[in-house]
Amino acid sequence: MSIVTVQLGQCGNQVGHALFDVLCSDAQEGQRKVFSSSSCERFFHQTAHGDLVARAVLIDMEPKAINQSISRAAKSGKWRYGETSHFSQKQGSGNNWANGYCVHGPRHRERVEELLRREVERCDRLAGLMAIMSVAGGTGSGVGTYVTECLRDVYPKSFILNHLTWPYRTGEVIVQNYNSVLTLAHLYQLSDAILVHENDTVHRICSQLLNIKQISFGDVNSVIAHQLGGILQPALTADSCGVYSRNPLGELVSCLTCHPEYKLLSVSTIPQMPSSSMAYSTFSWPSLLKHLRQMLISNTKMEEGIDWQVRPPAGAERTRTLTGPSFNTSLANLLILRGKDVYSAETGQRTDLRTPNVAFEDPALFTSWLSSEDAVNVWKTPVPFNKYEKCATLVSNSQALLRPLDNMVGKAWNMFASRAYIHQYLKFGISEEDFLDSFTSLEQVISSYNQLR
Amino acid sequence: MTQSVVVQVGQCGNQVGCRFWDLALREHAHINKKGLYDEALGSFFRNVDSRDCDGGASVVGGRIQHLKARAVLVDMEEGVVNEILQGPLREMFDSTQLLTDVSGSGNNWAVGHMTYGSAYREQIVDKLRKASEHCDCLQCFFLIHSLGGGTGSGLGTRVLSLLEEEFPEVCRIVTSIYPSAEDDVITSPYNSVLAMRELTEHADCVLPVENQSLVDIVNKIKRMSHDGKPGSVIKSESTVISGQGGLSGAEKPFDAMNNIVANLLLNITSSARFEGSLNMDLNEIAMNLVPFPRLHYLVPSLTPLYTLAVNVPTRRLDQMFSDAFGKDHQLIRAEPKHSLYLACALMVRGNVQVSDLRRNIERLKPSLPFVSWNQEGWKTGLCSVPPVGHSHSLLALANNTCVKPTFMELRERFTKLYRKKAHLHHYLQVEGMEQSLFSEAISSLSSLIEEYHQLDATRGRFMPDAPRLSIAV
Amino acid sequence: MQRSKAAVSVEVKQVIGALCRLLAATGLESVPAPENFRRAKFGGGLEVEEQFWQLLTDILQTSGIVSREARAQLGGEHRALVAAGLWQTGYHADWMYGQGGGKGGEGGRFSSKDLLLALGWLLATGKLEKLLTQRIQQLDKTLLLTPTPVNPQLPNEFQLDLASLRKLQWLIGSLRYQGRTLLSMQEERTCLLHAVFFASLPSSVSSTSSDQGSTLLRKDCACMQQLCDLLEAYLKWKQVETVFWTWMDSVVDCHLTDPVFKKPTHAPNGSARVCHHGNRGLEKLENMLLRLPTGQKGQRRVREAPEDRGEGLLQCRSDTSCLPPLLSSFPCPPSCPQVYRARLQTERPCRHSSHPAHEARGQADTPDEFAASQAAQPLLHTEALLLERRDRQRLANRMQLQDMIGRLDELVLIPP
Repeated sequence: MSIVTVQLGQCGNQVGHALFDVLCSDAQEGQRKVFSSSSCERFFHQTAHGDLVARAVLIDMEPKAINQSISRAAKSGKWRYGETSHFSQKQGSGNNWANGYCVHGPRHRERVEELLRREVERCDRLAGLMAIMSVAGGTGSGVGTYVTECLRDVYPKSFILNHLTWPYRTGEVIVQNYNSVLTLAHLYQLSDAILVHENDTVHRICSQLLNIKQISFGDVNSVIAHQLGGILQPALTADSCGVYSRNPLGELVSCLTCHPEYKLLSVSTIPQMPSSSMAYSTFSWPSLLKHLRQMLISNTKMEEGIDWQVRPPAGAERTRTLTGPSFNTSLANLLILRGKDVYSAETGQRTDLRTPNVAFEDPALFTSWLSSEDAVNVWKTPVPFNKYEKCATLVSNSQALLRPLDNMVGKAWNMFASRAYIHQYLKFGISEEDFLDSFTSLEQVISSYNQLR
Repeated sequence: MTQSVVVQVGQCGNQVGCRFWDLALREHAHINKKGLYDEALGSFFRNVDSRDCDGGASVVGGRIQHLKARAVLVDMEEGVVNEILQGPLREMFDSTQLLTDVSGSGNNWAVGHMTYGSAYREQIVDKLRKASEHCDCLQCFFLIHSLGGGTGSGLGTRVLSLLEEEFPEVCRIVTSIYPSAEDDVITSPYNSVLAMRELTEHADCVLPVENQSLVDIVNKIKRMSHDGKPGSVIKSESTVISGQGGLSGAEKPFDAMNNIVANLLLNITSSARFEGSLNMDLNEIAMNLVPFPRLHYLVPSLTPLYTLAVNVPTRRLDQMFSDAFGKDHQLIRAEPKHSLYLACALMVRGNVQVSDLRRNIERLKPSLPFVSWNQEGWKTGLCSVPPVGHSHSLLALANNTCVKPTFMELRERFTKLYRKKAHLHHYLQVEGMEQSLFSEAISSLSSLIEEYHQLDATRGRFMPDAPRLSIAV
Repeated sequence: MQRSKAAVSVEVKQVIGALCRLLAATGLESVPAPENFRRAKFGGGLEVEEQFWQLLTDILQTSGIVSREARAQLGGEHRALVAAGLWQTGYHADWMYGQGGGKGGEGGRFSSKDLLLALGWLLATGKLEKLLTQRIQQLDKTLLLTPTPVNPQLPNEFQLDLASLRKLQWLIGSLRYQGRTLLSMQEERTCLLHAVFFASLPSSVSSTSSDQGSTLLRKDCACMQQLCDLLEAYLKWKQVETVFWTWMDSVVDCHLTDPVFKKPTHAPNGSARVCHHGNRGLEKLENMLLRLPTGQKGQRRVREAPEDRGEGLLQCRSDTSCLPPLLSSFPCPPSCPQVYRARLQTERPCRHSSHPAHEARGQADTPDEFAASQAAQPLLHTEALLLERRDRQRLANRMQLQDMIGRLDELVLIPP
């Protein structure tokens, strides 16, 4: 029941490093033996000396980010990366998806597969594979897509989760929309679930919730790591029969992405606050859940500035006029509750009329063809996470990512209509048809998500 | 870590190159306190054991013994190169990196391109090959030359096409010094236009620099430093024109201007050499800033030009961003704000966070006209090591239609001469030279101008979004 | 399609062979050989019948319709046991209601064909799947969840609209993930077992002597193998099932056209309950009626007990095995057989008169004469009614058939 992580490109390596940091420090906190050993087993491999070595493979086409991650991990003293678990080249992919996918990927395929195989063999049982990357650059997107293809080839029956970081909308990279479109279209066929964090959203969380003045990428990565950790740390699920689930990725995808056209997942976590404020705050499950529910339906990722006016449509009649443009229809939701008194947290009881806003199993939140019993799952653990006394994470397969995706495809399409930058891609081996195919697949995805209403 | 090779051709090219090496050494000396030959140094320098006559392999991590520049110096006159070899930088270059002749090109592009180009072809290729073999991962060739003369312009562009032939996968970034209108070389328009055609066809990126802008910037700084107002004392080391702290002692004429160009090159390569939270490699520059193969002229602007002795916090940072788009800081005479941006890259050095970067982009975006299909066309890079004397700096590279007026002026000057067929015989008598080359060159320039013009025409006009693909439900 | 008779018979034999293998794989002990199926079609005699009695009993018992105690009680009384079991499943045939025992074997015109038909009924009503499920439950120890019984029939209300399609796709995806999870659990288990095995071996034993595996592992392996065989057999069967039902059709045809006087012993005990099919014209009518789609595969047609006025019930065969399930919506003509029965009953006296040799019919003679004279009028009337109804029904069915065909892609042959 171990997860092997593949960190791709600069962003992937930075986020991955932050994630392992969070997981390790959370696992080693306090006197929680079963939880700790389960968490460590899942993400780390223990050497004969008792060192924790992350179950990860680091891949980048240029060495700086990898070297940084490896040295920072080693400096922490609590965990480290394997000495030979990384692969880098001298020269990057130049922000060019085609360069990553057609040139670098195949060129280094054998070496990468060997590294992966070694890491997988160190696991007693493979719970699944997770690839962390960004979609804006060249390596994370292009090489990342190629590596995911390799993963699917070599481990066809494993669960593969892709974690993507979507760039700031006002770019980091000018051709980021092309790279994103090409990546997403390909990953949709290969991956079991695609978990997305948007830089813009996380940036807002940093500035408004965490009150960070000068936000660095390190801060952004910490928030992402916190949210990811909240999903991946051990939890008790409906199928796990009273012990920590031994099939976390399998259960995650079974709850959320059974339908092949709906694979995009977004994350919300509550509470998120600066560590200095935590001592002065008290949390109650009903309040947390109420806010989280409203965050879901109004499609905000922060507990501040929630639009309480957005309501789910009343009654069986669900037409567009009633729902309004800001209502977020879900296909399936997974709630993960961690912390004190978690068993008293009520999530779906509609019979409790005093707290109607806590009902996650309200059919009005969901699309009509999946019953709310199938669509809502809850995982719980009484162990608190990352120093928060109570923490609730919502992984949602909903229309939350519809608008950003639509924007991204729209901008890429505009650029494509002028044929701008296309020559840069064509010279590495992909064709205009490949572009068109990718656009078509994503329009299909957008259409499917639109029809959830 | 990747390496880059600098190829400096002609008098102007070598003068600029000389300043570049001086400042590069200064920068690395500033950073590299331990005297170890690290990867950053390795991108421009080889570490050579002087006892080893071959100039053998450089081992990263060892002590610095003897640094040799990764450079090839080409000139058809000996004056400038000899000066370099007699100056404090002589140790940086060995004879295998030099190619000189005695008679010069006589400000004649045809002589540089055809005559010397054919005569020295093998030698040039040989030297380039040697330089590239010393690199274990060559990423980029930097070509420095001027367009007005004969050697830099003619031979320089010949070298460019050789680079494309022999090393097609290596990026070619060309820094071209454009002649100003008052240039004393009469035939500079001919040379420039003939060279431009080569640049349009063979270069990956061109950074045009106008002499006049350099002069203006120098004057501005001098005015500033002589101003004597309280609170405006400039740290002399920090000015972009200063060569202080480098190996060369006294400042020579043109040094100030050349230092600016040298700083430009240092800043472009900073992210590839040093670490940062958002790295920007050289091949990413070409990828992001060149939407169409021929439109690869990137207008550079450097800020700050100097640092005040008194520290002023964040406002200065924001001011730096604003200045980068102002007329005064561009290295060609142009007003980018009044033209259309196709793409823009911001390379920030120093202690700047991504939030500052984003804030400033948000602030400045409304006033900058971008092409309709690239409304958010920003490429950003963050390098944590600031340049010498500054706490942070910014280099902006803009693919902007404001180069059009410059090109149009150039075309006009060319046409004035060509109509009268003035001095044409000097060119035509060179073997290999034909009149058709002139007409082809000017038509290439014209079509380039036309392409920019068409894009310009869309500025301010509302361009509707392209209709999206519709999916049958 | 023109196929040579030989090719057809070879194919049929293979198909029946697949069925036999499948039945054997589900754990039934007394599966007749494929050849015996063919013999049974043409009335194979006592040993064949015996085999089929055994088979039917086994099936009924294994699928829980007949309890083990009942089997023990009734012992060699196959007929009674099977009849009881079949009645539970909704099958009604004349031979089930004849008094068992008696002089010299079964009463009536009973033959192994009836047993074949009974087997067909059981197969059609899902007993096979039930056997399969049970066997899988026995063999597969890794099943943690309570398995839901396999229901091969689509519910009538299934709509192929977008929402249902999406739901179906969701379910398929969910199953796929479950499959993967199970596979990985299986792999882990194997690895652990392997580790345990090696750990439990004494250190002096070299790895080459790993032939002496523990019995448990071998048993598990055998179970797995059986499971695989079973599923494979089922798969093969499903692929050729239609051929089997076509063959079954021919059995039914045989059964219907079988002239009564071929069978020497025909002593109806008590009241005549057996439907005689000697009359050719009647035969044809019956054939035609029976060939009408009379209900979906496996649909139970429970005959109302009150109808049984002691005169015997007609065997209503669900002769639909060769029809695609889409035609299942055809209405059954419930009233037809009633009329049919009435007609035949009144007919019987005439027929009886042709068998003066049968002493049992003696008592019917008088009703014969009486019925014959008086029956003509109502008989003709009934005939007219029947014909009319038949025509109407035929027309309606035909139209529905046309409709369905219009929606189908493949060619469908409509029997005349």
